[in-house]
Amino acid sequence: MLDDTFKAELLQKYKFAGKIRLISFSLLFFYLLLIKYTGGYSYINVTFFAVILFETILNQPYNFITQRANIYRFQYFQMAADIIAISWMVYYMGGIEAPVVTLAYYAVILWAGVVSSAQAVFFAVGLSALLFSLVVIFEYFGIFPFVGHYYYKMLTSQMFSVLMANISFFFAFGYFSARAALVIKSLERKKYEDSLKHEHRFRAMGHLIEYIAHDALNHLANISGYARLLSDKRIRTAGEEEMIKSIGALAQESTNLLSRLMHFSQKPNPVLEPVGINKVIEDAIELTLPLVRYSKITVEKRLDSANPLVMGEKGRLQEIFIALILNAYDAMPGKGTLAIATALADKHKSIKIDVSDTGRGIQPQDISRIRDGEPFFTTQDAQGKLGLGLVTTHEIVTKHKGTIDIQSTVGKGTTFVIQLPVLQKEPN
Amino acid sequence: MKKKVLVVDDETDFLKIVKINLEETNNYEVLTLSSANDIVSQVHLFKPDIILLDILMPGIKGIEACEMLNNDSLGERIPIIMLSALDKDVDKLKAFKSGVLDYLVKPIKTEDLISKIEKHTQFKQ
Repeated sequence: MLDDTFKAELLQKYKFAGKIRLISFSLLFFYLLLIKYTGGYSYINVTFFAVILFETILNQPYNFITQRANIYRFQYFQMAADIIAISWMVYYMGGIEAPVVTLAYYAVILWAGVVSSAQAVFFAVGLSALLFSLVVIFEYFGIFPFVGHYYYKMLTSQMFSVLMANISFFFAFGYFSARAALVIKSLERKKYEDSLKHEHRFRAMGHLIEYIAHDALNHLANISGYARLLSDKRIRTAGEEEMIKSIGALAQESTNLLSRLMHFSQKPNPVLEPVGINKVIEDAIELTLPLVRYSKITVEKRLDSANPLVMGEKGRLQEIFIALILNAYDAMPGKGTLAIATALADKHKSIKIDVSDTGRGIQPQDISRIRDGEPFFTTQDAQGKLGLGLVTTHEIVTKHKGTIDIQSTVGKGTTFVIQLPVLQKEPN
Repeated sequence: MKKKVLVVDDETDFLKIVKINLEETNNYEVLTLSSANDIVSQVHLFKPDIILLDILMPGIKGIEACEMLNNDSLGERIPIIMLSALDKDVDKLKAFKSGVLDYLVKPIKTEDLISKIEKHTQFKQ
């Protein structure tokens, strides 16, 4: 999933780069035409047109190439082609005497850093340094025909020092570009992870909303039914008081349903406070009840009567249990039992929470991936399921200095064991 | 002769309201069930002229109940009206595919309910 997104983004960037490259070549072409007619220097010849044609041919059928080629490999061919074209132009514009053209190398190195990876940057730097050196040395020593446009030839020592300076700059620039690549990649990944986490919450909410709305609408329909009965003078004998009581109870139930949903939909308050873990679990069960109620799942809870406090973010802790309940719900399409048990452990220093289901279980190789909190990993095959919740769970538990472990037997069920540190009472 | 109406819904308040409304007209005899778990046996005992069935219930859901009735010699001949609090096209499609004759979205006006019951039971008389 992540790979596909990155690949699609990379393709977009390369398509965009293709356009930029063509515009740059066209601008360069007009610039060279301009200096030909104003300054009298002519760099435009058949070779220059060949370079433009080479780049154009390479850039035009982007859709065709990128859909068939591996984009990760293709970008190296693209960079190599760009660097060859630039070296070609450097040579025809005077080699070492036309150092401004070497700026084009920097563009490729920077591009590799921005859209690709640190490896791509060093590939670009290495190839640029190699081809630039070859062009300069071959031209200087007459292996290639001399195309200098100035009237004097540099001393060999001067040529080598200018060459070394250029190459050093390539590497120095490459270093910063590679650093930028790493920063950009980690920012992109974080942004993507954040958006997926948000999407998970949103999806979980969407899942719950339908059932909560169903229940709330039922209550409202009943309230309106009772109101109509009460207003009908012919049916006054049917127990007015009982109906009025029912209206009150239904209105209260609707209010509870909607206020629980409203609390869950709000951005969690990032304030650490003593939180009663039993209450958090009960709220999560209540919130998911409209959904679970219509399944064939039985919910069992055995909460420690000591009701230990945990220092944490209430909203985020609730998210753990909502994610695990929804996960269990997905894992048990037929009948099943979802059991949530809490017990003090570790000499009352921590609270152990077992959330177990009697669902399909998780394959051993998948357990380690979930244990590591591998982002975007889900064992649930269908898209739109709630497996992403496990990533969120892992992250929240770790943030609360807790641990999470999974015990699972394929075909029998899964138990998530969460341990959170208990808030120790201050000695009097 | 009174028509027999079987109403199946997990909402006991709804069952109470429908029962009062229909029986108040003196034209119907109403049996209410809060789950569809033993719908087939109840149909055989009560022999309703029409069944009002909620779509989303704990345990056996409306569509499943419909399928159970379709496989029953008596059940397959009884018209079914599906009821739901959610006005979802997917649910409606599923309901009609499973052979229900009508689909009503709650809150349901008593007059609408009666007219639908009459419409689907007129050939029985």
